[in-house]
Amino acid sequence: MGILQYSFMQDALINGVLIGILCPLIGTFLVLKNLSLIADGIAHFSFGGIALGIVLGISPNFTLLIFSLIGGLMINYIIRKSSLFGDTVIAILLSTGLAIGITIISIAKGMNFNINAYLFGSLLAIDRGEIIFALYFGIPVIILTLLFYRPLLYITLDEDSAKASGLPVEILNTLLVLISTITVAITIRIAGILLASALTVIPVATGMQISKSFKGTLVSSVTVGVISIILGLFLSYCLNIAPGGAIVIVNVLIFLMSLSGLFH
Amino acid sequence: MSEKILEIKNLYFRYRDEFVLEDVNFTLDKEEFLGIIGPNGSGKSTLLKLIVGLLKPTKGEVKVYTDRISYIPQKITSLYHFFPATVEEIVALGRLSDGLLRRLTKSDYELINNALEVVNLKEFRNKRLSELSGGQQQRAHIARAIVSNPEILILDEPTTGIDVVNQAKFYELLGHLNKDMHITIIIVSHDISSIANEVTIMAYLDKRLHFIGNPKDFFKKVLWPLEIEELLKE
Repeated sequence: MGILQYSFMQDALINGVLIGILCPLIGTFLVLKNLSLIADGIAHFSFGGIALGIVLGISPNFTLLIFSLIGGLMINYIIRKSSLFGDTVIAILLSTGLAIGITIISIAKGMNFNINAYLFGSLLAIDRGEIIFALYFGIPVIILTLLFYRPLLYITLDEDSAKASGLPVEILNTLLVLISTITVAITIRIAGILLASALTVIPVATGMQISKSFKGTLVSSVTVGVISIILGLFLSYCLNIAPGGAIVIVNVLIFLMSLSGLFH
Repeated sequence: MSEKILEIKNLYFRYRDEFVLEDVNFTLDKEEFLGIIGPNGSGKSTLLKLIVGLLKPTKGEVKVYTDRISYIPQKITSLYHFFPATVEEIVALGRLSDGLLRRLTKSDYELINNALEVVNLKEFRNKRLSELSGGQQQRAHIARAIVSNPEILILDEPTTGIDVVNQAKFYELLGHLNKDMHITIIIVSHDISSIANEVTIMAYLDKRLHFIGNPKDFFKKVLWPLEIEELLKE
């Protein structure tokens, strides 16, 4: 366990375990609401925010969070108000965010951009400030999700019945979008834009193969998320490969094992 | 004197440029069992959505004199066949009507047990919903409705895809909820003969309400003349 003596590895594990819990926890509701790609949409939309932050000299973490929130709320609003399918709306927002980002980068040619850190994450190079940012926003998201777990399950299963029974469906949907966007904003800094949706979807798909109940699916998705991040980090350290890639590969391998019925 | 639970006055509803419902008027008393039939696209599901508040009328009024409403729509979720939730978890959702953040207590579990017993699904409580047959799944949703202690239960085509034997059992269960548990029921269905045995009021809707009244009168005044007309055409 020599690698744990390095403070960068300790920090990576703290942040990794946090997103290992957060992404599948929120992802379970998103996948079952047929919104698997919303994390991807929000993540790509926030690319514009990151580029804008860097160009304006504002903290990209801040603009990332703001753009994630705007993206998430816009996706939710357009899906509800238009007759378009969710994936169509997500694709429009995703392209818009990427277009804004690329345009800003092309205008600000010559500036020192480290956009790769946002695209692919930098789990092994995060500073304490980012850990505090992640914990500060991540822990309330976990608490809120656990508090509202049953109402969120109801709107995930049957929004119309929930509304007819008097549940505040609009508020609960907005809550789900807000906690999803915060989760994506935290995850991007750690795992990168390209991997945010993988961590939200793959552990959930695995959890659904393992458990019969909703509670069991939540628990097994989170367990798979945390295990894959720890294993991925160790593999990344031992084999000197990119941590984001290693984490997703471990996730996919566990998913394939679950498909073969190994965990039954 | 019977007490009103639903009042619909001069109701119109339009999707884009086309009116789906025109000048619908009726009242429903507590503990009645209303069966609504009509051809495809006649506005039956729209009427139910207006009653439960999912849609707003283009014109007119819908007044429901209770907030204890339970609604079982035609299509629950597109991911229904994979949804990872047990029967007990689904039924327990009905208790949310008593508070969003409250934890389930012993008395909640007693209610859930009783509801599962009523719908004859006690031994399936830990099964995944998708492992149940169509009829059993609908009974699980009825159990979810029962635990919310509704005054009015509204169902949209609940027996679609269910075999005839199980349809009959399902309508029998609804009859029990209406007569013995005093729940007002509104159901939209294609199965005219099945619902006619259980309902106390029958309505024929085709954009306008062409008939509302006693099921026997419905057969005499609406259905048989229509059938004779069809036979004469042939």
